[in-house]
Amino acid sequence: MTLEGKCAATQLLHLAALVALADGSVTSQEEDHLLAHLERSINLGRAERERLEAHLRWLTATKPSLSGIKKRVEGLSGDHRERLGEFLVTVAGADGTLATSEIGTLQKIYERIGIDPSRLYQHIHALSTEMVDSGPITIISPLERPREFGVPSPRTETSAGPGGGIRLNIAMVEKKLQQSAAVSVLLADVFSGEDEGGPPVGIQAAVAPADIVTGLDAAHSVLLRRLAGQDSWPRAEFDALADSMSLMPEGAIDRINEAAYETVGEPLVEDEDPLVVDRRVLGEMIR
Amino acid sequence: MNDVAKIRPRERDAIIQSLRAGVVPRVGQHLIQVGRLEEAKAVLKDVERIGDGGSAIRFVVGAYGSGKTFFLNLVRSVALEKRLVTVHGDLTPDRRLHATGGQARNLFAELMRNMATRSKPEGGALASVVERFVTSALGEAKTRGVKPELVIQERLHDLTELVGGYDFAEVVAAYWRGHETGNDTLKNDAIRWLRGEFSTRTDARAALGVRTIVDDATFYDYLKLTARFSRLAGFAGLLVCLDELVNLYKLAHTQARNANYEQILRILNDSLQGIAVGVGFVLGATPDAVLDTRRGLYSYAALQSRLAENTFARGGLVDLSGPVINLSNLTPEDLYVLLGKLRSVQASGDSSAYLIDDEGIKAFMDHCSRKVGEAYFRTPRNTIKAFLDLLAVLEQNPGTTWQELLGNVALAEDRNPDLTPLDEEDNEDGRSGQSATTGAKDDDLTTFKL
Repeated sequence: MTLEGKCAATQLLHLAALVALADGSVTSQEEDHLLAHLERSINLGRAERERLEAHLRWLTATKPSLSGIKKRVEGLSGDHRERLGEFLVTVAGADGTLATSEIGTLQKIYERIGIDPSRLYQHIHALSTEMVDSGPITIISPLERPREFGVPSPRTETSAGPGGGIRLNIAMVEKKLQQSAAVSVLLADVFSGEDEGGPPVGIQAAVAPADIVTGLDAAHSVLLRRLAGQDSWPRAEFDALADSMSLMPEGAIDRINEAAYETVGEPLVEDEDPLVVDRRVLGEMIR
Repeated sequence: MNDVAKIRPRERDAIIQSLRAGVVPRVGQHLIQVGRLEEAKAVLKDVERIGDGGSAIRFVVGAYGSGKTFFLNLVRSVALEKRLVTVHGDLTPDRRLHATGGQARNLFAELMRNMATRSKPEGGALASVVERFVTSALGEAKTRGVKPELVIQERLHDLTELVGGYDFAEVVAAYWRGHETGNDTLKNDAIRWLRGEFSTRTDARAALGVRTIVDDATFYDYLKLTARFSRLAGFAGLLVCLDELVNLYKLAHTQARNANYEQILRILNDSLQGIAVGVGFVLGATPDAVLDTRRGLYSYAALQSRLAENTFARGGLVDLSGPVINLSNLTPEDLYVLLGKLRSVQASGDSSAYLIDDEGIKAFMDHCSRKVGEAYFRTPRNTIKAFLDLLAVLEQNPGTTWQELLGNVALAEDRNPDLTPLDEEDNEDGRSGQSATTGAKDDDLTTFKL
């Protein structure tokens, strides 16, 4: 590892220790996540890993402070700062929880390194939906300044293909299709399911069983059959009809339409003045 | 992509009209739901639990454009289908969970105006619910040969033990008296009272003879009463959908904000401890409104500890046992599948009538990506609208091909209304989230003035 790399690693370690320590202790998961990341991104040798581990332990013991952070990230571009922030979020969340104090520290770091704090919440949210790229994140050393013999800086990856066109991940599309098919089945069950509860108990007066409409009690069944006599009902006339049968108009429409939804999937009458009876729905209800 | 089975013309039209107008459809969401199987399963269980007399609470958290409102409406449809009564409303600076200046009562009134049942999914179902209760009481009175008032009082007896329950029962009885005596004013007053539209006790006393009204302090108690009442009216329970939690987060006044968070905590505790009967809450929030430790829900320690339990999905496993459902941002793949579903809905599920092939969908997305960058899938409102507009042109002009039209598809970038400063937001109280977006866009055009 180059000297620069090592500097980058210690700087990163400093920030990460700040975050990890915010909830009082660096958990073993947080430590592993951090060191594993460093190992992946800057080719740590065994000895170097041990030194960084020791450094981390030293940081843990001395409780690093937030001061001087601005200087540490001076050389970083906006994009790299954002990635740095994203990485720090993964460190804080490596143990599966994110304490308020950790979020608080992250808020302070984001402010100091010049990223809009609202991005922080998006990053945390993304982590909780696993949208964060879990692969190595390239973070340039703050000390890495352009030199004539320097390695060209890594290009940032974007989801856009050449010429701004889109590339779709076919495997992902397949997965989404399967999931959507499953969700369709689940919801279709809900939206076409028979009413398990059955009709609520109501008055079963002297009405011939054949005249009872599925899903309705005797009184509403009679009302429905009377409704069938006309294509449209002025509101006052309907109210009087319902009243003559000791039913309340609004409640009766709701009740009848609910039964219509259960049997046909559409309402029988539009609740306006005049009420219009849907013949097709009616036909299916009193088959 | 062709898994959309039977599509009813009513649902087809509702979906297409809403989406073309840039709003989330109220019905038929299940026909265009992409993925989110576990999330759907979780809320289905919630709805069933509410129907069994239990309670539930969910915070649906997602960034702008991730489909929070769509998901909330899906939950609402599922609930209606499972015979729950639903109420919904957006939180705004003028409609809050806790207030002293009438804003909580405003929220209550808004919720009650939007009360929906399966047969009245568009809202305005409060009278239907009351009448269904009274009708069944009338039926019982007839069979038992007693006065209807007696049955009504008996059935509402349970409510009288709750805060405000006695007057609630009185008002329902007043509705019945109004009906019986042909007194429409009394009926209307009863409905107005139940909707929380009386602002003074004196008025309520004069109109209905009751001493209390729904006010800021009793907002939540009356919601619980309404839930119990829905069950007595023969429904399975009540689902309360509150969108735009971000507006509580934006309250500048710390005390007001905390009082609202305290109300959320109360609701959360009631739900988790099973104290509330047959009532569930779904709240839509953006990540910052939850996670900000200075002003978000996380700034309220008791809420933070209850919400943080299932923060992270580990190893691809989503834990939905806690109250938070995190909606991931949309990916291009999600959008691709969604556009396929829309194509299918447009063709009423008949794959031989598709107006555009898979290649066409890809080319369309390609076009959008070039026009507005990655926003085309992150905030897909305008992309969806443009796609449906394209389909409409193809439909009305048989013989034209998408290849000919694609170049002319215009697309504007969608802007997050949450990014508008609060002062402006204050002026937009009465406007829906959608009109706020439009407003933001209009502003956008004028910002280029020199």
